[in-house]
Amino acid sequence: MSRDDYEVIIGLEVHSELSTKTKIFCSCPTKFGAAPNTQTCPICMAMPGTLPVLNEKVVEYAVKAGLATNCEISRNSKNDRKNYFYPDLPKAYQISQYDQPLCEHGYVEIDTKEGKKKIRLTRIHIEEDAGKLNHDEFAGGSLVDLNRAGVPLIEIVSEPDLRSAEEVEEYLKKLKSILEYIEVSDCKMQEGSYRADVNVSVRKKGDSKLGTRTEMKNMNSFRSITRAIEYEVDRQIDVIEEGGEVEQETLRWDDVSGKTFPMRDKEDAQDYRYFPDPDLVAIKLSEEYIENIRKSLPELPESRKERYLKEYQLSEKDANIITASKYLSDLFEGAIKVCNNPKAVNNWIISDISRILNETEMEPIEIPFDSNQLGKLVILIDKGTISSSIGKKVLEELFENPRDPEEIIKEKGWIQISDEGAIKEVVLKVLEANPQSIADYKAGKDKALGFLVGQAMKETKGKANPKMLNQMFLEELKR
Amino acid sequence: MLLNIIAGHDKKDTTSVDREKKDYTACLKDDVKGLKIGVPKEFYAEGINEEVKAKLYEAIDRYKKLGAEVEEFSLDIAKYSLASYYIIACAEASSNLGRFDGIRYTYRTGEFKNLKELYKKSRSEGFGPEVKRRIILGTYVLSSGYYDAYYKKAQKVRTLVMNEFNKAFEKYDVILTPTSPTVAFDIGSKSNNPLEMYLADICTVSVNIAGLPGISIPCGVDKEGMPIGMQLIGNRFCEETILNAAYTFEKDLKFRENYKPEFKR
Repeated sequence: MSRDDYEVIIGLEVHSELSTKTKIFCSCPTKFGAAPNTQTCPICMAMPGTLPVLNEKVVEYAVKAGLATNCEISRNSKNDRKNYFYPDLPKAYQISQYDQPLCEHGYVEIDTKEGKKKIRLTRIHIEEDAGKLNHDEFAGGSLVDLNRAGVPLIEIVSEPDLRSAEEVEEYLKKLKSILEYIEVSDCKMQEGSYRADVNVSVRKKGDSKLGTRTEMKNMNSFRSITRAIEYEVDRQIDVIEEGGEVEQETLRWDDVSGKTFPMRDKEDAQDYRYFPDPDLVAIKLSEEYIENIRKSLPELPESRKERYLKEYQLSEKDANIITASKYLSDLFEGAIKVCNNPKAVNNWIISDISRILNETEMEPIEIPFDSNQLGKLVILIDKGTISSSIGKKVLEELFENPRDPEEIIKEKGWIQISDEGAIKEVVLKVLEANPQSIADYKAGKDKALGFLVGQAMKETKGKANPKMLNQMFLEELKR
Repeated sequence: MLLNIIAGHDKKDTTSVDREKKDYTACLKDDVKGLKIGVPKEFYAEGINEEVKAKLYEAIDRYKKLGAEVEEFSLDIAKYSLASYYIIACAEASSNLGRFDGIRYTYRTGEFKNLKELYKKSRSEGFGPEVKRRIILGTYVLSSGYYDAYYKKAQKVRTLVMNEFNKAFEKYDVILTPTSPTVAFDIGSKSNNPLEMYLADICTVSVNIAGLPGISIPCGVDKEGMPIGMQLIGNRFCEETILNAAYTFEKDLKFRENYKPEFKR
């Protein structure tokens, strides 16, 4: 049988760190990147005798996420202990939610080749993150950093509704953009604040029974998730084609070798001994509480997209790219308010800004300049103060060292030369140096004009007003 | 006085209740007239030492003399309380003691080849036999496949015990029982029979299971001079009732003047 005879079934467990100021059960800060163990206290270090106190913001954020993904919100919920030993888990249990998650039965709509598709969500629950182990920092051991221990997470579990790596990527991007819009998570993949466990199985088309699945843990880049799924699907099909059986196991994806490896042996099958945490009380939510959160939800990406299509006549493709990220979308709207030129702002975001983000592997949230600065840049071009090629240099400068674009061009001496006399001087100089081009132009080769303009731009380091240059050359060449 | 200080809501303990504080020294009135005392007959049945029983009956008579209304009734919960107590307490202990893993604090074994061995040896060497017994028991009752039969059932039993007490407190202000089926046994004398040792808790664990206040005070001594304890159980947040009942009893009995308890070495 060929690969086309198989159907791929994928379900995801997405972990997203909530952007609360403090941890889930104590008042330690959650900021990323602090020196090891400087953001800890007796509670998150699990000193004997300490008790957890649930951070109300965590419940609020999780309910927000649930409402934004069409979930039912549980009026009665609780915290459970998941018991296991690992050095990054100081209490030897993780406080999570087992049989009564905060949110259930939701869905996220994604765009696929075949049109819109609903990916059902089984549940969203709250839990605490574990610490971090730094291996090989000193000879013969690992060091434990508990700054991350107790940082609040939501785990978003999907039904096995995804059918390909592309759908997985679509889903992850959509979910990420929703969480960003409702401002409950930064979703910074490099910092591990948005990561996924991927459950993959294959079955022959037409089969109703699901195949045995394998789980790949803690993937935190779209690229490795896509590669891992493709590899794992091929591996499973090979196993079945060779007459073998896929074993249910947890795998580790290795980015370097591009392969998956079993994480632990089967005899170590974990029994987490879940039970309700006796140190915490049940979570009961009133209708009023849930309604208030529902009312506070901001405009979601889908609705912004519709608005962009209608109000600004953006193309579907551009509107998708901009609204996929709340930060790009906010940048877009903010800049328009300043310069009132949606088309230009759209172009900047879709082409140059997106290109720089790609090249530098930066996420939109990390863009260092603000919408005001982008808007001003557009105004400078619209007014003819600078050319669009200088504009690109200003943009690069904004990424490097963000400040007022006007200041940048003054400082760098990039103000466009629109003085007729100055331009004429350059034009004459260029013409004198390139008699061949004049002859070519007169012989009907229009390209020669482009070359001459280019030379003049070079001469003025890109500062000459291109429109005026063009006109002036035409005039001079007519003579 | 201590209760006056520790009573009340603790913001850092969400399981504590936020309600008005009482003055527990002001409630000591040296008066139990009209106090309704329930005596659950199951707490005076088989397995309770005769001398203990005799002293308890004396105590009951003393309360009658002091003007309390005493009535025998049925409260057949002790053995269920004991069973669910040891399941729940061990389950919690097995999880609570997980943090003693030799990583951050307390005992760490000297030599180990890998992480698993570090855990195994540190915990095997560091914990005593009774702690290990409870961890093993607690781990077992929480294991998949056993959770429903043990832990979950124990929690259901717990609710039933609470319901029984609620019914009792509709009729009585205080429930009077022995503190222990026997006087104190020698240290280590029951180490080989932990079940028998756990049985000694049969009268008192109901209080923990049901979340009720209880107080134990001496009501006499046995032939060898060992003190015999009486337990008074009150309704939720009615500490003042049992404190006053105990205070009034103690004033009348004059334990310190009339008894000289012998403590074996």
